[in-house]
Amino acid sequence: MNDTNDPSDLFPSGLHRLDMIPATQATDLLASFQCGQDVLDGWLATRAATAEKLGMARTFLLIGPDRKLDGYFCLSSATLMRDRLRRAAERQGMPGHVPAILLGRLAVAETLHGQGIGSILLAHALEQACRAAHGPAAAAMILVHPIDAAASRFYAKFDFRPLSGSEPAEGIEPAMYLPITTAAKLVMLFRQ
Amino acid sequence: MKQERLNLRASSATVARIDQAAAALGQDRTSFMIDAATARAEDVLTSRFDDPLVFVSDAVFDEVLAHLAQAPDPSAEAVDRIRRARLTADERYKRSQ
Repeated sequence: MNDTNDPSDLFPSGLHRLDMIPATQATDLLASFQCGQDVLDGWLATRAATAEKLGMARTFLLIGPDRKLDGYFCLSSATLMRDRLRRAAERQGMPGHVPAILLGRLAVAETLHGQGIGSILLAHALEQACRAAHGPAAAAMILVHPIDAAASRFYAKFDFRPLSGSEPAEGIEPAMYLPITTAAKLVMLFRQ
Repeated sequence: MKQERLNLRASSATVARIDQAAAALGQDRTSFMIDAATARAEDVLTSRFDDPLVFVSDAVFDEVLAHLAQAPDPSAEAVDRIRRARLTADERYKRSQ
């Protein structure tokens, strides 16, 4: 990696364009990104770099052949918790929480919708999550908060399961999860 | 888009404060309140994307633990989709040398 903000310098001859780059190294691309969801565009433009610097979230950018931003995703850490009876369960020696990797956002440029870019981004997100989960700090699952019903359907196609009752209000999609073991098997298929 | 009417009650002091702020931005009261409330709603609804704690019932938690213990293989659909993603990636993001 280099320290430039010029995306053309990030992909010297011979380097695979599919490689992800940290958001802090391509700030010029962030402000112009449009995925069709203002909240996802706004976060990338105004908060991603700060989250990166503070160590709150890692943002990865997918650069297209035209050197524009095809999409992005961000990862951070999270925990699945027992809501009720947690203390009682813990007293009995049962786990009260499960460490997880949180797929906080995943967005595709609006002009590329319907072309399979979201699946590529998700494959990369699973790979990065598996790397993190198999590092010194373990994680057993990948969590996501789908932005809407269409997003829930997208994740379900990759075996994410809804966590019933995790939604904070009616009309909001429940969180979903994928076991890290399943994710690792999908990553192996993507990399074959 | 279908429009709906909102009826609100607030103290005179609150309304005066809102009007001052709206005037400072060159907006009328309605536009200011809708903009402010919309921004707040988006903040609330999107803050969950970063929420590091997800709470579920005891029953759901135990179902998840059992699922994790199975170390499940991916479904046929997921396998198909990830393979197609690989093909799409190879096609769009060719090596540049």
